[in-house]
Amino acid sequence: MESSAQLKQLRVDLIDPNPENPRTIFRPEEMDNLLISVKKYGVQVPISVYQEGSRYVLIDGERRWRTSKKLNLLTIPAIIQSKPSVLNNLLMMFNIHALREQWDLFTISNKITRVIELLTEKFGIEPNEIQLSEETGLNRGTIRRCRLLIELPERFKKIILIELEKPKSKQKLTEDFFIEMEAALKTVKRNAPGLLNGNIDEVRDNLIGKYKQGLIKSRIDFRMIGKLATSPKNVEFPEEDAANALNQIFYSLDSGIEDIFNTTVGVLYDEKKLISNFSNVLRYIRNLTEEERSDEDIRQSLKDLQIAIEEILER
Amino acid sequence: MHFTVLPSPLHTLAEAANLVIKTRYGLADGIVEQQITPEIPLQPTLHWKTKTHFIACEVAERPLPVSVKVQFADIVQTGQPIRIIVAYPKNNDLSLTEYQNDIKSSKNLGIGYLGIDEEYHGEIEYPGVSLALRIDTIDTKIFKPSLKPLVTDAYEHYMKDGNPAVGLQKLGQVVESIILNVAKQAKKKGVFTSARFQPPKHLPQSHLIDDLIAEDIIDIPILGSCRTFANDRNSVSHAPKSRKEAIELERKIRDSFSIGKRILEDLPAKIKERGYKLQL
Repeated sequence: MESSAQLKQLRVDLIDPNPENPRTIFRPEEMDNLLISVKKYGVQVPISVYQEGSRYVLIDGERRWRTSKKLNLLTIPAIIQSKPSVLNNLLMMFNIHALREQWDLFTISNKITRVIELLTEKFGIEPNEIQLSEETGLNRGTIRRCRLLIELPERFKKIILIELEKPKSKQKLTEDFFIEMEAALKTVKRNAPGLLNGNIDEVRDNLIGKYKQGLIKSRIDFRMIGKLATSPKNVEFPEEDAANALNQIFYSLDSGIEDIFNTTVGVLYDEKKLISNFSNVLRYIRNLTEEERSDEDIRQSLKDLQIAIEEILER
Repeated sequence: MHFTVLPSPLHTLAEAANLVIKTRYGLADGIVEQQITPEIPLQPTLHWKTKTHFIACEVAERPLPVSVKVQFADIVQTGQPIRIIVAYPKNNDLSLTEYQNDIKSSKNLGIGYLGIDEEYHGEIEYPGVSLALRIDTIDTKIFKPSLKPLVTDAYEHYMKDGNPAVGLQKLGQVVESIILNVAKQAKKKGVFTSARFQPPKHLPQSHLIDDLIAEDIIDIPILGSCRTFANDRNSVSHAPKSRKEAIELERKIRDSFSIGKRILEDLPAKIKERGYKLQL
């Protein structure tokens, strides 16, 4: 990209929004805050544009431009850059935002497919997660989360879009809800593929319904679904029982996740965690240096531990 | 209609608002997201320019959005004859208190609002007033108890019903009635001898005031104000032919209402000091 950018005061009415802008959601509360700030202090950070004939196209700063237009400001400070290629245009927008503020994941998901297409066209091979991360400035975790959203059927995407338009405090079926749910369902597909055969949308609907009713208390509960699906492998829970528990979560309309988890594999996972913690303590003890072994405080802690262990073992 | 600034979930609502307003005022489609005049510091979602007025429609999630609230004073300052109507979804996320606060503030500011239901049918719930006409809320505590409900009624017609001409007329009728009753009391006492004042025969208010002044019945400066008020009220009864005339006319209506209000503040004391009663 060339660096012949220049700063100018541009007429607001000569600027057009960028059709490739991944950001499509402009929440009223955020716009309101910006409007008050621009009214008080003006546009403090220049927007970025490129020239297209006698007009200019936004690269960065759509909210500032929209606000300036709403306030009927005559001009706006703008950095004029040379016209980028379609791919560079998109990547520039991703990188600007990766460095500054986090967009809604859904908006990124919508455009990342286009970035993958353009990169595939350019390099002749589909970019992997690392390349995609390098090109867009997004971390790999974000890209993975985006992919979960991209793969959702359209009607669920619409639900997210409607939610995203609401103020953050009023959003219920958030992107995070869907990401947690999809990650859990993916784990089920991998570990117990027969359970979701052909019914995945029905399962999604049921889980959404339970969440709305409060039967599923938190989106974090979906992690327990993943644990149930991997329980035959991780805590030797019988496969058939795990399948029954998951079926109950997926299809019975009056049970949440936490209750079923606690009455099936909860204890096994607690036990596994305890054993893992004891192993860690044992490793620490064995690795104590000579100096640590003679330290008074450490010795006292070990004695307390010894007493507690003996009390339990003597029962 | 092509919107670039309005968030996409509100596009259909804006189309519905366009239909309601153009039908109500007999206009063509509104102009989308453009400046009205360089000095009006708001580019509303839609606007219309008539021969005499501007009508702006801001489409938002609530009846009194921040864009209108923060720009309101600056818009009023321009003195332009602009009526703002906010179109909002009836099914919104506001709490009842938030909604009621918006409605109350809108009426106090003279900003109209238009609710659109889920089937995209809408009606103008409050038409607002041309902002050049807007007056502040009246503190009725300063008026005599018998005048309070009458002043409130005039204010409600002016601002809350969005009909300033009727509000001004109501206020004028109160002043006229007080003056007429003072004249009657003075005539009864034998101190007012005007030959052309023969109640119940009608005598134009300005003539009556002239005669009251000539015979020094009550404080002359306040009678002078009453005469100016009566003349100005008569001069605002014709419809404006251009935006320039509308600006002048609306300034006169607003100023006349303020003069009438001030007269009703001071008149009772001036009547009393000459031994007359406040009668309506």
